[in-house]
Amino acid sequence: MQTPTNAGAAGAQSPNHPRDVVAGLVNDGMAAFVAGAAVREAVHRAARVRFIQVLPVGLSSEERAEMDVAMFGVALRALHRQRRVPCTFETVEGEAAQMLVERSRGAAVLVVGRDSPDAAVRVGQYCQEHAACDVLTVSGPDDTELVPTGHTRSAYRVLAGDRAHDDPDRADTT
Amino acid sequence: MTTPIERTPPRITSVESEPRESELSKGGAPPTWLATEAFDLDDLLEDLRNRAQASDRAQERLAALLDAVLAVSADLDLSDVLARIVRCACELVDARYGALGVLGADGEHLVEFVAHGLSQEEQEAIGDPPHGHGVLGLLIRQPRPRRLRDVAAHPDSHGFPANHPVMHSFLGVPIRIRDEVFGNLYLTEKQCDTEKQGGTEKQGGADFTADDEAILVALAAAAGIAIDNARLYERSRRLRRWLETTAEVTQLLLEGMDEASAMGFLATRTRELSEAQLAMVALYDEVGDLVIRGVESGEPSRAAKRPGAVLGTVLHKGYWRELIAEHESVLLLTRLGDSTIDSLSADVRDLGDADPHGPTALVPITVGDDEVGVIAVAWAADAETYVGNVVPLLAALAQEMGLTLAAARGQQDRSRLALLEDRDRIARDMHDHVIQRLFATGLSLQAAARMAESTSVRRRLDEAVDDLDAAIKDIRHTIFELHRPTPFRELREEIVELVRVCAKTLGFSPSLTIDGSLDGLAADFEADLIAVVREGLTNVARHAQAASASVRVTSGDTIQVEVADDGVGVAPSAVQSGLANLRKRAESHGGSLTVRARTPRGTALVWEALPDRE
Repeated sequence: MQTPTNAGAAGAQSPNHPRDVVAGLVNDGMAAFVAGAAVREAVHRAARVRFIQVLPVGLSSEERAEMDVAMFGVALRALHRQRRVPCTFETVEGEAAQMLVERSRGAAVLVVGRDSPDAAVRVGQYCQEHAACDVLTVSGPDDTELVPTGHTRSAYRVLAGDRAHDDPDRADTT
Repeated sequence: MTTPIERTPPRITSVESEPRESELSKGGAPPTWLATEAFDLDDLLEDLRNRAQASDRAQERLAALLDAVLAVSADLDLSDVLARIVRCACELVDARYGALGVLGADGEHLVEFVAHGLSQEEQEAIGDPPHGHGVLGLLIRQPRPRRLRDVAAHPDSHGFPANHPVMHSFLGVPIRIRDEVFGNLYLTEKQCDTEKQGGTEKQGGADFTADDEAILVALAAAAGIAIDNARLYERSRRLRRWLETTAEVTQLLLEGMDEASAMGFLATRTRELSEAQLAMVALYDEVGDLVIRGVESGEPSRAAKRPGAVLGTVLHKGYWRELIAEHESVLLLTRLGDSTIDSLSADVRDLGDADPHGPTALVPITVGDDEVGVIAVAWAADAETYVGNVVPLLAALAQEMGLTLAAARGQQDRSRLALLEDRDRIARDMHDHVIQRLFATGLSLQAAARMAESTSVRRRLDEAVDDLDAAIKDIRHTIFELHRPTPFRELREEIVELVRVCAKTLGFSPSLTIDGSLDGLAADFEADLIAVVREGLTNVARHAQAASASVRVTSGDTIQVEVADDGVGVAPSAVQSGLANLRKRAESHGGSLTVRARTPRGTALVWEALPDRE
């Protein structure tokens, strides 16, 4: 829904705005959980949430429009009764992990689906290793894990223990 | 509340024992106790004088504090209250500069900064107001009073921006509303009175005292209450205006104003109430297209894109349907410098002359499971902190509008049904009673004709039978006509369509009210009626420079058409040929045409005629 004007740049950050929460929506079956977790983070931080859907290259315009609307519906359901949470909708084409890392530059936190053990493309892991912001991985309605900036998932487990749930206070301090 | 008076502890000096001691020590020497006594008495008097002065000062400050509390509570306008709080705080503690920083929803950044002591030019030279870093941020992170001798020397200080006056002493206290920190009061450059020739003058360089801190804490408590009251008042006033608008639109729709005009009015009011740059209302039509029915884009001078031109546009993109189907409001927010353009937000903002960036609210209009349409509102980029409170009001308005539209459509359907039933009944009565009687009479006359001996009588009876036969055919034709779609509906829709088309030329949507039935008017009268509406609106578009116009068609013993605008009026030298034609049309139906000025501005064209009915 959103058209890139220059590749690689992040959303505008003003000193008097909290930094954005980015919801990385990929076709991995976890878009609803990711969108929900991103909205909760945005509410907690009084921040804007940017829903970024990454589509594979080569879709027809009809397929793209169809997926755009589907993503919009997922985001709307996540925003249920959160009328004050500001948001934007963006659709980009390309390799999901790289696009999300690129687009989340300047954000406070990037929310993505957690990689399944047998996943061929490990988007979550790549984001944890390369994103310039905190990365929150999600694999269910209440199953989230926050990895602060500069730590890989395994390193964070050593630092903070095997944390099953998101800790907003921890997120604030990173 | 902490008392702001710092009492001097009473000095325990025995004014009586000292002279005795001195007296004893001196023995038979000349009595020096008199001098000592005089010295102690001076000391005592000085002490008393100091205490009296301190007491006076404390009373003065208490009085000043009470005055300040009264002053900040005297008004309910929030911006005035904030400015007054800062001014009173500066006066109370003799600070040269003061400011009130309002915290944003995140509680970490300042979103509003009300300064005192700096001129407008000085503030502009400094540039952006502070956002809550440095020492100001310290007060945000740890909301408790802070008193510093030199603000620039504090470890958290980020220094002053260019063109900022140098400041030393600093006093900051948080302002709380119940448990929430609303913002902080910052005061700098404590001043003291210095003796000069001819009086005293204020001079900087002093430090804020514990008294100052205590008195400012007291003022901040009162300020919190005043701000809370102002916010509650503002909220209730805004809510009342929203409710009034809902009632107005409901009344207009139920009184017979057509949907398109009512939605134009709704868009206008919504934009005004939301303090937005643009408001749009789109409704599903009979075939399921989502069609723009009302757009309002601020002052006429702003409306460079003539929002009226987009009236009737169908919103094709799937997002709109998804939004309405989900029954969810959404607040889009794009900021200057965003790397991407949200196309949904851009679609709305391009309808008028709104800024390319800023908040945009999309609110579906629904009734239960029925999907009716959508309201979209776009604000300026600097309205970000304001819109969060408006979106719930918009959602409530949209819900009410859904009910109102359903009620108005139901009312229209019932009127149409009642009319059709009436026509059916008339047709049935004519068929079952009138025709049967005429037929029976015809048969009877035919029988009589056969028995008539006189040729002339038989011929006349046959003619009567033929006449009856013709009458029956006419009645059958009328019955057939009664079952066709009503001409009333056609004329009404023609007027609605005409007004809608004129909106594109005008740049705004005129309101239209049709009061009473236009049923059964002769074709030439209908043509004249249409011509009057068209000519009236064309005159408004060409000459009036108006921001709004209304068309009211009232049907009774006479039919009256009034086209009114809020434009510059009719110049005496204006070409009157169009009006002359309208006058002729009125006079041909025994009516008249009047053109009069409206108060405070604008023109009203009133055309009235006796209806020719078929």
